[in-house]
Amino acid sequence: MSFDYKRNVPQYLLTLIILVFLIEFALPEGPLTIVKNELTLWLTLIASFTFFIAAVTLIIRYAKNLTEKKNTINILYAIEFFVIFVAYIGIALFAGGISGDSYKWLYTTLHGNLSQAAWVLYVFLEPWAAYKAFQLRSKESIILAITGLTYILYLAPSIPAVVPAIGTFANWIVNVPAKGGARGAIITMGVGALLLALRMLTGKEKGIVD
Amino acid sequence: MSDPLKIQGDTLIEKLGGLHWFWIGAIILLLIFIPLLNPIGLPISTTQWTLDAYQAILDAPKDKIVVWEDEWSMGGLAEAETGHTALMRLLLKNDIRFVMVSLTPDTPLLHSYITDIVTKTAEGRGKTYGIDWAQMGFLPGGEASLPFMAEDFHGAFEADFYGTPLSELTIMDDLHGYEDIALIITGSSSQTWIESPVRQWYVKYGVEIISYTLTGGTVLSATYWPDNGILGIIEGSRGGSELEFIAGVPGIGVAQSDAKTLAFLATAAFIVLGNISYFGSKFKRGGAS
Repeated sequence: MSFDYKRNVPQYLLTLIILVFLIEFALPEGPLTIVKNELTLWLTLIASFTFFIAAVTLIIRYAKNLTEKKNTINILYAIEFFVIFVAYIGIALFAGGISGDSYKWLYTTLHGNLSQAAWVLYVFLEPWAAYKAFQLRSKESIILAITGLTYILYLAPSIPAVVPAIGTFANWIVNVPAKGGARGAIITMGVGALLLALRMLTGKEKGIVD
Repeated sequence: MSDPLKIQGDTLIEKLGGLHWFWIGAIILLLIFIPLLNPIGLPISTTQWTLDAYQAILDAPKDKIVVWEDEWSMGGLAEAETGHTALMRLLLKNDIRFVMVSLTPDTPLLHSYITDIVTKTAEGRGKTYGIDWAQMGFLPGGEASLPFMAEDFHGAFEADFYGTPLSELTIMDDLHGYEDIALIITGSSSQTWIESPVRQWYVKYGVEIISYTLTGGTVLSATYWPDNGILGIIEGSRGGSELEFIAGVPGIGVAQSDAKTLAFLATAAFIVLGNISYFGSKFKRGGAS
């Protein structure tokens, strides 16, 4: 039987790296820590490089949109993208860098305000969702409504100051049933992650290196 | 999309449950704006989480450095400004040296924005960048970047956000790895992020943490509080307002607290109205839902 380089080499590499991280995590600082640090450095480099790939992908995608003669909206989106892209890069390169005042002003004024404006939409949707979802139509919705209503009142900073019982009850919800449930979920996820890691380590998890 | 002017239902009781989302949002938006423009000064409650966070910061060993790693970004400014400003003012007020680290690409700009505000306050005056605090740039890699910092801070960052080499920042002479860290403040607008710093900072290196999460996002942080790695929790702008009050660094939190109180009270009132409508309609129809 021939050696399947395409599958086995990445698998051995993956197993080796997982083992390095697993063993290093369990041991006190030692020679393996240096290896792990070097690997982590590479991970941050690769993560940085993904931003570059993302930029190239966006340029290709919007450049294609520019050539679509029939779709005016897409052309406008593409022009908007290139104007902003070039403006950000130009200011970063020629007007004091990303920590310079011009870049900070552009980012805070444009991106900061626009992204916050997007969040404002939740003011319309979330209270309306609570108004509809917290109607006591079933046993489950009774629990949802009681805990939801209590926590909403608790999050209003002045309400627990005036009605301390609401604060006490909300704290009990968070620190007893919610904490218990969350811990259960974390343990379940931990066991699941362990099993997944073992399958990856032994090459049984399909799709990781294929 | 349905017509906002048309209220669903035939009778008054049915109409109470058929309000369009636009009107509910508009009323709540109005209730948010009024106190922001003219603060009412409603009383504020404090949680044990914030009190513990405050105490943990005060108890941080002065010979070590607090590392404030952050995932908040400019998009979350409305939720983050109060907490960030209060935290930075509290640290400077108590002569606690700290280093800010960005875990998303636009966090450094949030840190710069907050720094510009804080350096103009009483706590910021007389403090020197590079001696009392420093701001690192973006470190990619998410959770994987945390042990990198813990093992070799100077390897993770060659220069600060402004391009100054770490060797030229006095504060960085005392920060090389986890042994030099007094406390981690980990900020994120995602409540699940807390799993990563607990795994990396506390389980691996024994460095304790303050979780600075978003309003309503405390459940996962609370699972590790108070004696499993998390010493205290700052709950978004609500926690920030509390911190302003506890630490004696008043800011925009008062107006935000008033706005939150009115908005959440209105939301609760709409929930009650929805139920009155539901049960009223059900009773009228003879019990059939």
